[in-house]
Amino acid sequence: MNIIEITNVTHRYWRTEALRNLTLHVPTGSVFALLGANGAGKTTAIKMLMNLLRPTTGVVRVLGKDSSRLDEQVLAQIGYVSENQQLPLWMTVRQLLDYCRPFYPTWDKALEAKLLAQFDLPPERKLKQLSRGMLMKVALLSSLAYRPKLLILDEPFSGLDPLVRDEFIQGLLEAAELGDWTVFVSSHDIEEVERLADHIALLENGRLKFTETTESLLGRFRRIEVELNAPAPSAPLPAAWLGWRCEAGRASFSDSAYNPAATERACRELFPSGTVQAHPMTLREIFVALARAGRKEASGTAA
Amino acid sequence: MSLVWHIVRKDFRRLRLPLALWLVLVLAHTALLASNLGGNQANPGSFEGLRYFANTWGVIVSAVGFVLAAWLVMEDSLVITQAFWPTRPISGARLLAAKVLGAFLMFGVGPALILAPVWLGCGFSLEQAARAAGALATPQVMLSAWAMAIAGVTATSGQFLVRAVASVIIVQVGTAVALGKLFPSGRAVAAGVVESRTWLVVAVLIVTTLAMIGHQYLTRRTLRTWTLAGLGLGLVIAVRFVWFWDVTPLVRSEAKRSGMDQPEIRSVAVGNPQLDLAPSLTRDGHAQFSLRGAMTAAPVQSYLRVNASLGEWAKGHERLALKSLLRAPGGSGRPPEVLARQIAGLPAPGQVPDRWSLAGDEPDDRVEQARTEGRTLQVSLNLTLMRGRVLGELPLRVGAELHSGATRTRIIGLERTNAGVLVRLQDRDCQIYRAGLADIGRLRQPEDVFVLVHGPTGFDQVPAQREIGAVQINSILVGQRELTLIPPTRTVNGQTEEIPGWEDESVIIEVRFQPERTFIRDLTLDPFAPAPGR
Repeated sequence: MNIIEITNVTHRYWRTEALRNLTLHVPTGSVFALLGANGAGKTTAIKMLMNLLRPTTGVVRVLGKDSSRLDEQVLAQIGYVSENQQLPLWMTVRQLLDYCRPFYPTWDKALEAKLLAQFDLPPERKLKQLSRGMLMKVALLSSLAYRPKLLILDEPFSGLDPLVRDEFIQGLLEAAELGDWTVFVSSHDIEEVERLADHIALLENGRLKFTETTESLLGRFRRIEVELNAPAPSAPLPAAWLGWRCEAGRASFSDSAYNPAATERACRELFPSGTVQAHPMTLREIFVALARAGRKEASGTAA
Repeated sequence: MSLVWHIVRKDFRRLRLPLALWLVLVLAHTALLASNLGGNQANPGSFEGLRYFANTWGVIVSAVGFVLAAWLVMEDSLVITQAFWPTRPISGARLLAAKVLGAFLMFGVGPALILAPVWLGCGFSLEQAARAAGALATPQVMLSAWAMAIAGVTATSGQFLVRAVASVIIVQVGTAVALGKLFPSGRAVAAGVVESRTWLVVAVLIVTTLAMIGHQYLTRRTLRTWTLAGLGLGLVIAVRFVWFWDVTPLVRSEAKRSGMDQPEIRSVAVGNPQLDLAPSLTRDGHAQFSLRGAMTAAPVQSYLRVNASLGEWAKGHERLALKSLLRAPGGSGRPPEVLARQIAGLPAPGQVPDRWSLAGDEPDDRVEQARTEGRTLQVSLNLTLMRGRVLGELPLRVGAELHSGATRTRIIGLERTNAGVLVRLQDRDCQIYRAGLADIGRLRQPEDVFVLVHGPTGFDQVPAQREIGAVQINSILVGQRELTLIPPTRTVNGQTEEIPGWEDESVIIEVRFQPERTFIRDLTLDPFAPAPGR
């Protein structure tokens, strides 16, 4: 069962294509991270989920409803926090909560009080007097207190200092224990996402590069290091080997389809006398490898 | 509904300071006038200054209200994708209901509530206060709707200001084109068609404004909302080229138009109309019409005021409006003195004059065309039944006051000159704004006649009256007039002398003629027929 279904969606701003033929399914109960560099199309995709933008072609369904027809009942089950959202800064924290509360039949005052204390927010202070991190916490609080089925976070870590970022994630993780929900988070901040996400998708220039579970992604990537006792092979390398580098009798690359037996077999064929070591990769390393490979591919295509 | 009120309360909290400032502006604008700003020092010059000041203030009040209405909408923007409300369970319909309710309370109910004590303090009846509230709220609510329509498709305040100014210019130009005032074509149309077109243009503008607001709130599809605006403007301009029908009879029945539904007016007849056509002495290339005639059977204690009237060249059912209105010569709309004396209960021999006259001009080429085509001149003689009654008496001394309902007349100055005694009057009254031919060029809707009466001798006189000026704001009219009294005299030893101390024994009676009903009498004249006996 998918809580979000994006099918063949393209979005154009006049002549600029922000998203091209995007298909993405977010399983219910997952913590799904949409990753990509700035300008990759993450925010555009999220705005379409919230009916803030309409797809040029394709269909977006959220909680089983066409996103262009989201009614009050559906919106009452969605929490939305965005770095760009314009909160009513003239309100105090308490006024914002008082304003939001009546719109949600499921609003939990006890949870509101608990999160208020947990996030250490000053209730009587105006939002315009709060720091960026505090503002994000207020937005998160006002989006968690009604126990939404779906929490959408658009670049929530952007501009936060490491301490606040840590607190924010901690708050999110603790809140996650309070309810059964799905989190859809867009970010270009890979380390933070790695702590949260169990599903990952990567957008690049408006196109989906892949979507899979974090476990599977981390499992299929390895950094391979080879001590070469002979000249580098001239035979073509497998396509799944990214970022091949060879310096001073030492070669390294990222295997994007790592399988211990198959990788070992391929290495033996290409480096019969070499010593091969496979190292697990972090998400950051995986994305750097993918980004470099993408750039190389693009320049190759251009040439 | 409770959620709608919840949003309304939020908007009031957000806008409470600018709203309070605006209401203070509204209140001060009216209250300063109501308390007779200018006092005894006013003269024609300073009165013009007061009028200029009051009108400027009125424009500021409207402009601030306009911006406030836009602020109300842009507080929950319908355009930017970073807005807070679309990500919350608030439907466009609910937000629209909240904004409409908020705008009505702010710009309709708010000013009326704040001005109610002023109106009641000025002696308005409850009905007058309610009508004044309606007259105040209607244009403000319409202006707010306009601001809301523009703000609904605008992201920033800078954009809003530019678009607001542009929309005023575009609507003015579009309307001028639709009504033939800009790029006039050779084809003239009947006055009824022009009036029908005016109604249609106003209707299209109102519907377009409401459609823009409704569409934008319900769909947030800004481009389509702009398309609606363009469509509305296109329709306004198209009115001129596609609309040639007179639909005014569908709205105003003939009986109502001619006053036949009122027995007193049914018997009013206009006889013996005469028309002279001669080259205009004031405008080159124009011919001047002079119409005159008699009227019969004005009801008791009333006279019939002749207002600016429409004239049309007619041939069968086809009618072409004259370029300008036919107007009564200056002073001819004043109440007859003899009637004022009769109403004041003074001996008044003679009859109420029953003559009327109108004048106007028309370009020579159009007159020639009418002559060639054998057209007649159809005049819709616009008459108002003015009913008179005595408002009260004023002792002849500075500071004397007369109160009658919302009317207050006060003597603010007495001055002896070679011409006689100048009496300066300041008055305050309830005058609800009315748009119609009967009020064109008039500062005041009622006509007042003052009669000086010297008790011991029974001497009476209707003194010459001069309007110094008048200003009307939010249904309160404040004005000043000047009467020139000729002192009563007596003969002593063959010498005529002023009666000593006559001022102390004299009063001024104010007789007011209030417009009661405006109606039309149709006249058909042939300006090209040979004059009898020529």
